[in-house]
Amino acid sequence: MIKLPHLSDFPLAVKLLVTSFLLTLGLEYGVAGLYTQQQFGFSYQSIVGTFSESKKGKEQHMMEMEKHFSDMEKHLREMEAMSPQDNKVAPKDNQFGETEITLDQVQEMPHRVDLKLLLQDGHVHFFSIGAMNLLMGACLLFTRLSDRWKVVLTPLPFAFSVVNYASMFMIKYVADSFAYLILLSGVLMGVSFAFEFFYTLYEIWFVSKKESSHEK
Amino acid sequence: MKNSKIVLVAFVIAVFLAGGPVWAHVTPNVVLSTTREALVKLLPTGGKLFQKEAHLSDVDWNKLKSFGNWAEPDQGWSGGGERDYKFFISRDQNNIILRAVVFVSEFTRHGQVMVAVALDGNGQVTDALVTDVQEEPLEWVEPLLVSNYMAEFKGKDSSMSLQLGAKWSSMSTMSQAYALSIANAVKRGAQLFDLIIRPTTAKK
Repeated sequence: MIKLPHLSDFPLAVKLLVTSFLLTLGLEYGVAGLYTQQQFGFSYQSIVGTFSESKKGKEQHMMEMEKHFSDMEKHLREMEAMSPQDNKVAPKDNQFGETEITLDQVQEMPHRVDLKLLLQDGHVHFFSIGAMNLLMGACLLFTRLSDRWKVVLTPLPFAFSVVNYASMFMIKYVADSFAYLILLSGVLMGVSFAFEFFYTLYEIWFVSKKESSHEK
Repeated sequence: MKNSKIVLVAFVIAVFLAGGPVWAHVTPNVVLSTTREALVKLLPTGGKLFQKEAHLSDVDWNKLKSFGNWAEPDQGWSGGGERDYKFFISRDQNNIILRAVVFVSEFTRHGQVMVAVALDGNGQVTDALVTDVQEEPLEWVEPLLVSNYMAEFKGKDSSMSLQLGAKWSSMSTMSQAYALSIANAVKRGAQLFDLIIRPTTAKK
């Protein structure tokens, strides 16, 4: 059986190359997470509202958007104060079937991820996430983890990615509760990434050649 | 044994640090104007604000489809399959329409583009705003907005042409494609107004 060398035994230039790659990827992963949190939020409601085709899902999204834009309220109230409207008037319908409202009662229009965008994102991101998982997994192969652990850990990020994407389709066409599977598989994707990230860096910089050869 | 401890420590660190990127791989939407901001910009002050939620019946839907610029949900790439719309209408003391705004989305292959279309009581477009666009196509939509493309629609109605004027031919191919998507959203807004709101304009 081929015995792979360990990262801790590699020349400094290789260690620096792998470390730079990991840090860049880690930074990008973190920024992507922060950006998504700002744009959508990580909650069952926001996921259902974004992907679900059910009426309930759309209503949930509108509620989520309401919450998301609550920081705009103060500013808009000031703008509304410039127009003579009475905020305390109870909603009432006119003869055209329209309900009288105030600007405060306006709900944000939902932003939705439809099938076309899901397919578009899928074909781009499946490749990039696959390539990322391949490189991260390759780094893990050159650590001192036992073969048993490597067999278990290296395919998992791929599996979580597939489940994550499949759930986005399932929530659209099967049931809103697949939002929980999106959350779970998404967290597990992140955990897998972080484990590979930290463990590989640990091996490179905190395991000495001596320790490494001793274990052989 | 030591190996197991290392794995355990790394796992604990991972759990604490990796909760964030749950579905970071969905291309983010960019909000250019919130719904309220758009209404403040597009509606006149002084009128009473009304909201009308409209669900298109099969009859309405077939009529709109016959115009040729509407698509079934998830069919084709031009969008327009949504059956539920919301109008925000400003009326004066005599219930005459001062302005109506409807939000219309075009579902392109690079994501949703939402346009707020403002119309007067005769169904003529008074103004239009792109309120939401996906991060990726923003690169193609932004040049249009900077070049005041939305002013092109002022005074037009549901019979407007979906052909771009010569002055937009210098734009990139993708920008021109998005210009047509936006134009279709405006046209659909005017068509919706004619179908749902305009019948009420004669009444008091």
